[in-house]
Amino acid sequence: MPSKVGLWMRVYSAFLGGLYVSFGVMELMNAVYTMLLNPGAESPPITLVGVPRGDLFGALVSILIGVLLEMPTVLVVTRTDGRNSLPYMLGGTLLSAVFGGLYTLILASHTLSALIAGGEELREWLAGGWLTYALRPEIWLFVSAVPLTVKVWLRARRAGG
Amino acid sequence: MGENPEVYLIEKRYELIHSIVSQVMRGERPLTLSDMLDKIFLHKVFGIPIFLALWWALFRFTFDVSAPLSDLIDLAFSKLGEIAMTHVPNERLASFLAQGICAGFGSVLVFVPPIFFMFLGLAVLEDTGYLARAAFVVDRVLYKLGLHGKSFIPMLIGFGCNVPAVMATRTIDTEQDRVLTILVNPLMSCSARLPVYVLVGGAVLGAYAAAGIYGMYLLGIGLAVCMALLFRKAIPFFKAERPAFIMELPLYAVPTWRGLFMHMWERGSDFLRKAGTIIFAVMIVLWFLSTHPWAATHGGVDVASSYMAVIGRTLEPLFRPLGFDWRCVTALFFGFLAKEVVVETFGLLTGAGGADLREAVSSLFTPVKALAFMAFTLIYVPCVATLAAIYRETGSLKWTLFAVVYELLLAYAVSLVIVVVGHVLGFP
Repeated sequence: MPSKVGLWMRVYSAFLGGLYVSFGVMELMNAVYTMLLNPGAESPPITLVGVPRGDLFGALVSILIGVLLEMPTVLVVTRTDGRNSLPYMLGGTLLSAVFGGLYTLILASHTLSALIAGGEELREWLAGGWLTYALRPEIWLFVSAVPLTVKVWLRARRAGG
Repeated sequence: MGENPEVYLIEKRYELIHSIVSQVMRGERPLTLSDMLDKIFLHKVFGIPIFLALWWALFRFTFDVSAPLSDLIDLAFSKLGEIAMTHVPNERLASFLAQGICAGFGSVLVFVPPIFFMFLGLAVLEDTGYLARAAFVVDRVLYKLGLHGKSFIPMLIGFGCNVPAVMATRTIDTEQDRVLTILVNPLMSCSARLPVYVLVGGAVLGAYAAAGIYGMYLLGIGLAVCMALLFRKAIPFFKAERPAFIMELPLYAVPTWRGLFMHMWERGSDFLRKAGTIIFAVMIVLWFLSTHPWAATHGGVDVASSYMAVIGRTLEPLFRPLGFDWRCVTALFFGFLAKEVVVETFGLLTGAGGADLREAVSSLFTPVKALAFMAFTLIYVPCVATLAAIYRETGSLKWTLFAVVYELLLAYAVSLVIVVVGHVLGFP
């Protein structure tokens, strides 16, 4: 049945899902700490470059993508797979592409803003400000998910057009 | 049988289709790409979170990605203002050109990019076929919470402008559902409120601005649902059985650039037209009120001695519990004409534009007060045009006045709750 998925796709999806959930939880911890527990705190609990200090909704979205990518494995474990794995992978990879693309656009727009402002703002941006945006986990997780995304979408199109 | 005849007929039609298909086809029908996407987008558990995630992406796209274009417009109008001040010999004319036209117009036009970006994002969701799915997913929640599924489209249009949204309620069959949708529609945050959020949120909330703005949209949706539920339970007029929501889902499609830009232009150009007509006229009145009496304001420099300040100071005591000073009150007062005017009024009152305006506004609010102000802007009296539409569509002065009064009271109550809860949690 073409709408079924192979083992490697499941493993790949589960691995990416795990990463999305892990980074999502880290972002959530930072957001809860800087937005609710210690408002305006300069240093969040997780200071990994790229992990934002206060993006609550972004964190929840990452967890959602992770859960969607984990679902094919959950379905196998609970023996309820049928033809349901591919739709979850489609949803997960679609959101991964949307947010990977979005954060890349945000990186580009901040670069442009720094160029327009010039002076001190541009110097700060060039000195490393851009790294925080460029290393956002969702960007490189999206890049890592490209082979899976292509495979999943080709499989889905072949399944029924 | 007590069943809705329309629903009964549709169910019977689909039963017949299924029986014919099962007779002519063998085995399991392969899932198409559309089926698979529907499986996930219309999922009972994941449907709503996916909808919220895509909505969040739309706001980040609107707010963050459009920022450099706004910076460029801001830069251009600041330069024009400087040129007017240095090259026009007549003091009053120079003040009118620099403070009235350049600062006022500039402070509104910097919001053209986010508004166009928002409509571009909405066009993508609509042209791909997702928006209809969103209506279907949200209907489950709406129905439980007192609104009809057909209310979703007017509510969605309300994110652009409440006037066509109120008019779009004509598609709702029953009078009760229609009036209810009209009453809660102004709680959907229209594009005219976006400039206020972007200005105040961007100036005061810093890195949390996008979250604050997204929060306002969610607050609007939440309040609309709560008020619908309340009205449905408390007002006898709305206690009637609701018909089922039936809609044909369009096929998924890859949008074309031409289609996307056409949709974006159609909706976004409304803002440009408004900026060129109503806002321009209001701007001239506001410039006069903020710079006169000419002698008392020392040639329009001391706004605190202007007619505008008199209006603000008269109303200020009412808003003291919310922490709004006379400048904020004045901005809200004139925002009744059109919500974009709030931004322009801040520009005139602080004598600043662009980045300077953000800095000036940041000194007026703490983060909690900024959220309270944004919530007040979201909820209080809809603009004059929306009120006229409500009157026209309901044909009732009673419902129009009801909308004004309940929204004013609700705005005050919600803002007060934000301020009190903020203080209890230890925020300044």
